[in-house]
Amino acid sequence: MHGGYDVSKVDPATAVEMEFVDRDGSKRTVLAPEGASVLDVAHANDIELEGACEGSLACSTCHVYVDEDTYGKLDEPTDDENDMLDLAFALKENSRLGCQVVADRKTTEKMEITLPQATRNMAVDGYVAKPH
Amino acid sequence: MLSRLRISGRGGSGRLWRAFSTVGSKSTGHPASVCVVGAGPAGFYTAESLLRMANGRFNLKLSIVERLAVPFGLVRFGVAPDHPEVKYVENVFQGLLENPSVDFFGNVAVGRDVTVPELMQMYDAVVLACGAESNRDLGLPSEHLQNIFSARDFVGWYNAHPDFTNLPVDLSRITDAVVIGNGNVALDVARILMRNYEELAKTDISNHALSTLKRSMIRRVHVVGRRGLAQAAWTAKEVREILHAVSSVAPIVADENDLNVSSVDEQELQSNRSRRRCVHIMKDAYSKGRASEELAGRKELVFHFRRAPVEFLPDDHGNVMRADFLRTVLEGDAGRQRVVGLDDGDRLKLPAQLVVKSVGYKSVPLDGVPFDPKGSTVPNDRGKVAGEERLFVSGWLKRGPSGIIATNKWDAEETSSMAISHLSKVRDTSGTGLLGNVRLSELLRKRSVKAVALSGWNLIDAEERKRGSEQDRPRSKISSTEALLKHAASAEILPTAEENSEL
Ligand SMILES: Cc1cc2nc3c(=O)[nH]c(=O)nc-3n(C[C@H](O)[C@H](O)[C@H](O)COP(=O)(O)OP(=O)(O)OC[C@H]3O[C@@H](n4cnc5c(N)ncnc54)[C@H](O)[C@@H]3O)c2cc1C
Repeated sequence: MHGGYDVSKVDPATAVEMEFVDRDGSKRTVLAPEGASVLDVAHANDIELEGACEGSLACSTCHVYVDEDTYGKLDEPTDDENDMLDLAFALKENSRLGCQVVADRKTTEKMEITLPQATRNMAVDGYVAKPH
Repeated sequence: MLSRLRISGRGGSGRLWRAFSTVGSKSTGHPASVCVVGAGPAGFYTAESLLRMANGRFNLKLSIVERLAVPFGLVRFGVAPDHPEVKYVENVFQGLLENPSVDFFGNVAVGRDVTVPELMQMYDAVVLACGAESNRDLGLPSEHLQNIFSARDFVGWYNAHPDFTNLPVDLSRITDAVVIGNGNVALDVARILMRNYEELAKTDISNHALSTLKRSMIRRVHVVGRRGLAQAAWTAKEVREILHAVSSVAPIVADENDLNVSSVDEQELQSNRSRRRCVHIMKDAYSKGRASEELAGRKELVFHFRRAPVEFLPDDHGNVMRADFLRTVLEGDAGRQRVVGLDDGDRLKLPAQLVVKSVGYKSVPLDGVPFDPKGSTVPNDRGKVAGEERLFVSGWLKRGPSGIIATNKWDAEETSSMAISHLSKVRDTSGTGLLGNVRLSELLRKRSVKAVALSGWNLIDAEERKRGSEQDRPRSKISSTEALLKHAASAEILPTAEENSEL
């Protein structure tokens, strides 16, 4: 399931609920069709998650944190996903690639996805952060 | 990985194109113009974050100035041709080029066609993102023999970088090659030297490299590192690929002891997930062993660790024929281990008719811009150039030549927030408005510089894809600036004041 989908056509009866926590802490709940990846869901809902390699496991720009409860229910990351997670910015125990986590009523219902903090606007707000 | 190669166009679905082609393009807010120098990942990610942060507050007009006739920096000229999926990020960058708030000025070298102080007069802010245009040397008198190349030149040659089209690479009488260095670039070079011709012929590798590699007689590639396995800077995907996924490669370790890590190494690995996994992948590959029938007939990839080059020896024609190495040991505490060379008579003499030195890139100074030759970076505070009001730096020129494409994204966020905070301060006092691009166009016209605008690049792009599709390749790159300019010529149109006012 690649290239997003039409949000208006998602059937609420079979959809999976996902909550996105944006970089500024704001939350948004969206409905995802089963089979859509977190990256697809983000793009379909204008949530800013890059995914530069378009889900081909060649970059780490769709890196997200998954709530611990859901994390435990997901299949372990494959070697290929781990290779890219090695390179992700601000890696944590509950890090996953958005392109590899797929909406599934059994595992991801009500999952909470947190986007990693960039250093965005920190200098503007007078806050000094050292990202590297 | 080749199975994922998509043969049409740039590859990928391009769905990000839309998102980036409109970011920050609301023409509201205080007018300001910013010049980004360098069209590599750092330049594009800085442009993207500037537009995003400016949204609503500033009506930002960006110029991206690039020395070469074509954009994308090391994504086009560094990333290996057999890794097409890595290049999908070009779709993100193309989206930015198509953004109405962005103007592309290709074939304009800052320092040659226009100076940094001139740009600083024309724009409200200037961001330098020129990458690393040079390379480190080994410091050995014999390292400049024929058929010894820096990885930067060699990679540029196989990726059709106009500067290296005529690199005199001869592979026709060669059986043994040596690659010095233990990073991903070294593995890229080794892999390209060893891949079957049929596989390479499906990629966007330069046409001259493809025909040279077709005649290659290479049987063995040695990859040699000064440090140990635990310190190797390569990453898991590339290690796994060369060990397991290239059908023409039989991996070998010269000395089994090299696979042992010391207790100090062990301490270092604890805090480095990536290196820990790489050591594991290597050890695993060798402990399992591989049936010799499976590897028969393949080219040998031989890893050597803790070996420092001391001398290269020429044949009667001045071509390199042997590379000699001394043993090294690592001394010191975890995280601070130093390489110490041992002259204990244990000299490794490798036959080598081709040597590629992959020991690091390095940036070059720009006139009128402070430079730290030691780190080969522009001294800066979170991206703001020390002692300069409206000058910023991003990417490899800011932090040194390391990290992946995505690293430049986080780096750019930091630089952009400093630049936006500068624009906020000066918004009522100076402000060149939206005119930066027009002023630059006028200056370039006066100086008869043949700049390549977006429309010119799009013509080049289409031509390369067309030629590629005829050969079942994603593209066939045009490799000289002259030819690139010829294809762009019918489209050269630089921004004018009238166009600006239509925004
Ligand atoms: C061989 C190689 C392979 C790599 N492979 C990968 C990979 O597979 N995956 C990955 O994630 N990362 C890879 N990287 C790393 C990645 O390419 C870099 O992190 C990234 O390109 C750095 O971005 P940059 O914009 O700072 O520099 P660059 O990409 O070098 O861009 C700088 C641009 O500035 C231009 N320029 C220079 N001087 C001037 C001037 N005076 N005036 C105008 N323009 C100028 C240059 O022509 C260039 O286009 C690789 C790097 C190398 C060297």
